[in-house]
Amino acid sequence: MGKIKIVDRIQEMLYELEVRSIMWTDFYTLHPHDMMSKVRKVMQRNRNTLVPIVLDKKLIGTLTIDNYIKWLNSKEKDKPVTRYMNVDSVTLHPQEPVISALRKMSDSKSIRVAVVEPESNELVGVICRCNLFEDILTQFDIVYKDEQVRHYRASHIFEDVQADAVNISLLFHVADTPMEFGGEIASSIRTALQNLGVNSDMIRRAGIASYEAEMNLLAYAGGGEFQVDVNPKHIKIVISDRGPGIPDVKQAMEPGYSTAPDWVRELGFGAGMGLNNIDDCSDIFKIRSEVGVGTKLVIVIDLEEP
Amino acid sequence: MTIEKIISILDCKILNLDVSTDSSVDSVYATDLMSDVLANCKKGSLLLTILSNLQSVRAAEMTEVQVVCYVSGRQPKPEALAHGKKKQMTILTTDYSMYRACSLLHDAGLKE
Ligand SMILES: Nc1ncnc2c1ncn2[C@@H]1O[C@H](COP(=O)(O)OP(=O)(O)OP(=O)(O)O)[C@@H](O)[C@H]1O
Ligand SMILES: [Mg+2]
Repeated sequence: MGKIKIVDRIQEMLYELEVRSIMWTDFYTLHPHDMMSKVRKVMQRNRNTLVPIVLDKKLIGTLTIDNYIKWLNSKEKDKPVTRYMNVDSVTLHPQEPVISALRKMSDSKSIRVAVVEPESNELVGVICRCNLFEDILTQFDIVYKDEQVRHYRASHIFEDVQADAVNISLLFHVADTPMEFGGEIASSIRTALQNLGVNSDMIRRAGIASYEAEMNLLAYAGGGEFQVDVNPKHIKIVISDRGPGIPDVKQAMEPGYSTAPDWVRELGFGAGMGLNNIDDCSDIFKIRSEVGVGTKLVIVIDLEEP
Repeated sequence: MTIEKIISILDCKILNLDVSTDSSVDSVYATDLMSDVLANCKKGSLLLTILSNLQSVRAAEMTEVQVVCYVSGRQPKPEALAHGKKKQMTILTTDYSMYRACSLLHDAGLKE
């Protein structure tokens, strides 16, 4: 599914990308009183795109090479730029998605377009179709690098922190909610481990073990606590409750042994596999239980080869 | 097997679809016991189940299953569908029974 994710992301970026992030803001303008003889120099400075004619920051017209050639061909003597400028050419808004800008430009067959603020008509930038692709790709590259940096940060959180030992400790309280709606803590633990950049196989194991334990808390113990410690060496999850306890832990650990009542079985539980699943997901698994006091599980998942 | 093919073989209704139907699953697992999903369902499988509560989707989330299909015309509970959407899962329903659905997928070459 990796390839699909990338295509989705590019599509998303295309829709998210706004005109303002790819427009040129560094260009020269002319005043309505300026003469046509000044156009050539300004045009060249603007990389042969267009020359906006601006009065009090507001766009009042644009000049393109076509307009300039027209003046040259007419062999008229110097005239104010207002005589040759376009006044009704298409403009874009900085907040517009690039996709819609592209559509507008191709519909109107314009190659160079001014970008203005919606209400005030204040000129803020210029876009040229000939460089558009390059500009979009540059922007993609920036977004992509930003994402890379973020990803790097997440997966190297332990390296980034300067200390002799780093340990991240998370505490979760499992309330006595109906079992039908449980699983939120396991979900949160997965997300936290993802954000810490933990290897995905380890996240899967930690998620499954936490989920089984969380469902047991809701089925048999009326809630409890999760303490999750993550350091470069391992994930350690300690789950404790003050429920009824397990009279015979060895028996409870036998695959298929279950005391689950009907209401638990109706929800899809009671196969007697939960504690075994936790054991299978752990590198170290300890269980201690005392009738009338409660139950404590310790799960360790190694992150480093021992 | 592509999601598109699964949909056509099982004549599925689509309740949520965030990915292209060209994307695919490598295997299938069929069960109504959540611990069975957690123990035996491979990452990237299709999960077939009749259990329609939130836990069907939670178990899929934990095992990193992206496609869940409810059999016998069972509709997922609203909270299950909502969570599946949040986790960008593909959620399908089929009127075929578990047995029929499994045999149709088996005949089409999808392995457990
Ligand atoms: N926290 C707990 N407090 C009290 N009893 C527990 C607790 N956890 C498990 N048990 C007991 O241990 C038995 C086995 O638990 P296990 O999780 O392995 O299977 P299950 O919950 O019965 O079924 P499954 O987990 O497969 O849905 C339970 O039926 C219950 O009697
Ligand atoms: Mg259990």
